[in-house]
Amino acid sequence: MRPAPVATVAVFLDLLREARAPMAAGELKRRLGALGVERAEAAAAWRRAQRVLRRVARYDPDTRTYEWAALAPAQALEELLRSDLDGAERTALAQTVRTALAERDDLEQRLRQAYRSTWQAGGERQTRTRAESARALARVAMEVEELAAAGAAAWVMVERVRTLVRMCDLEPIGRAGEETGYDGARHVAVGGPARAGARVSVIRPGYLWRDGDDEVLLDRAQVAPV
Amino acid sequence: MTSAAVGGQPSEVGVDFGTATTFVAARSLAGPAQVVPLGRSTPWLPSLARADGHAIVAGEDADDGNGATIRSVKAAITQRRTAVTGWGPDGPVTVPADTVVAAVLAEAARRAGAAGLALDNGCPVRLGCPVLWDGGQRRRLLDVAGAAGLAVDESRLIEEPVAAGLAWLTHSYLGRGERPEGRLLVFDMGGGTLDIAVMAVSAGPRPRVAVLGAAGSAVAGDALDTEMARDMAAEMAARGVDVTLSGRPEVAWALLERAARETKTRLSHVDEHVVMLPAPLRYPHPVRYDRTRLEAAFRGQMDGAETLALSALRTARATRQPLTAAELRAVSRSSLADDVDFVLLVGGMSRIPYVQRRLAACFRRARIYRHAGGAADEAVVAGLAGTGEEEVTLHRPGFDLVLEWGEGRRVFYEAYTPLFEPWQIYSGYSELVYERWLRPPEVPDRGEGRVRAFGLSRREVALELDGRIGPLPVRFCSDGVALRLTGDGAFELRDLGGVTALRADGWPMPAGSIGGGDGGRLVLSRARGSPSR
Repeated sequence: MRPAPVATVAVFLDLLREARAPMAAGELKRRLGALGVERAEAAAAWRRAQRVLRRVARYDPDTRTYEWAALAPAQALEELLRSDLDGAERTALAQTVRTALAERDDLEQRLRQAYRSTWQAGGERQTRTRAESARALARVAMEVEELAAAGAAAWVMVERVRTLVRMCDLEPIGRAGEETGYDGARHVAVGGPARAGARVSVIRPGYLWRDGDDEVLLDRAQVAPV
Repeated sequence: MTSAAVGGQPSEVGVDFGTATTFVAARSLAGPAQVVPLGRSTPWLPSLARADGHAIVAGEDADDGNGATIRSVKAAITQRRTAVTGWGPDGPVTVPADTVVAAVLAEAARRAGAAGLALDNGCPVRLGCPVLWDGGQRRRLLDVAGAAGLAVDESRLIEEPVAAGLAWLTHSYLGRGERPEGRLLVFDMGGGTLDIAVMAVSAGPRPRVAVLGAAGSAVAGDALDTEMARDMAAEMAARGVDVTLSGRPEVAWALLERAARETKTRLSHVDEHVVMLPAPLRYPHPVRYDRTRLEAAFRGQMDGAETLALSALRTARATRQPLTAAELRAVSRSSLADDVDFVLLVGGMSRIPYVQRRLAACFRRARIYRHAGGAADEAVVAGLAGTGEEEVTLHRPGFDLVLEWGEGRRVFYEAYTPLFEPWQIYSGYSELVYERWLRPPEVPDRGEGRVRAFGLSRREVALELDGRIGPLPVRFCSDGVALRLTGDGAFELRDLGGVTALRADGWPMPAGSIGGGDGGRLVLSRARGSPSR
């Protein structure tokens, strides 16, 4: 035969949890008796536990019934800090707080993982895109340096650069030093506005990028009035 | 809350309307802010416009030479100008500034919509504004943004350095797994402006920011370009080429500034840059520009920027504890610098190594951060597209305090007015408080009145004292009535009944009107010994 339990708040809470329904004090004491607790002992235990139960279980003053309710972690912590609890009650409450903290840590961890994975994925995409651009630029740099060491004329270097950028679907707008009519769609005038068709000289060419059928204006040519 | 959708995910949306560029970003619940591509080949929309008959063209097309291009329209709000002028081939064209601002914001919204983020369907957005803007300037931007079809209210108008700070806190907590807590100084140096804010911050699921002090200046990256251009012009002059004697001096000067801007950018990556000036300048010699030379040109400006940062730190001291001007003056620069735990560098100019080095030397105790999870120029929009769970308090009330009686009404305090000006710290007798007396005949000399609070949208902010909500009663007398406010929340009323000392727990962000709800609440408690009212 199982020994009769020591009737504490935790035992009454167990009874309420198992019942899954509101219970009056009499019914709780009767169930305690069914577990082998003496009648007088059950009554004394009830007197000790009643005050705490009103706080930690759901108490309905109209029907004078008690119903099991999960204790919020903060409430469990408050209870834990009270001095009138025995060891078993403290352990149960501490477990509630411990579980809540573990769940919170888990949730925080998952939130951080979700954030980091999205951030890293974005970063990796950007890295790949930047690496492609950097590779194209590196090819230009390598070739220019080789040509310079070989004593190539400036116009040869410019032609090579234009060939290389054309391989990246880039199309130059104007040539540095050439004179042309001002076209606001393709030119930006340095030092103030210019009239359409006005004579300007190209200081730095611009570039268009052809993406399939689309044409993206990357930079207008910088021009100055002649 | 209504949510926008990017790829079907709920998100917070931020719009950073800057002097030169406008960004839009959205944030999914557990992810970092994603910048929505707005430009033809850039993530941002150029904040440019051009008058095209009665219409305004905004974005890249505004700079196509077919009319007068209007730049830096945001500065019109800062400088309280109602009109802006663009220069075109046919001369100057002047248009209403608010129309231009609305056109830029509407174009940003249109392009965000084209990229899959609809902003014109009542989806609430958060909009940035400079920390030094007062109530009138903020109200103006809100009105214009509303006219542009953006759903934004005063609770969703976030000061730009605060937004950057929020982005940094969120990234620290979620991206780096840290919970920084302490004093953060945000140093936001762009092309046209320098914005500095000092905040008490703590990271976590709900980032907390309490703004303690701020300072700003219109001396930033463009000023350095000008200084470097002058330096190059001096070198040219030493070899007999005077740009001022050029046939088109304005073109010559623009070419020099262009070379300076490019040199500045290059020197963030290399120690020396050789400038070959374009042919129209008729200077065939290479100009060797190294970091030492850049730093010499920049030194004076950075001295000023450091002084500005320390001024913001002095204000921050007075926000947290009641100090007299004399006490505050006595605080040394090094002591002020030691208040800072973290420095966040924001804006294009923060890429310059000299800026980082100067700030690291000034704030020796602080950790310097160069990004808030993304590019330096995207920090503000990343913070605007925040979690929506942040707690922000301000260093001054974000609402008007109005004295009313019978049919009469006077503004006691206008929202976002600084509680004291930096010069007061250096003046002889100033108390560092906001104080306003209203005296007869401006107000009655007898009878009763009341103090009420109103947000930028003119909705009433409830005043709660002793558990009761309602206006604060005032009894007029021949001396008039006075209001005193301090950064740490002291709220003092002086009337026939004497002095009533009250206290707010800091100055809260105003409540919003989107989605209904009331105008917010200011909870006041009675300071010890203060009479009941």
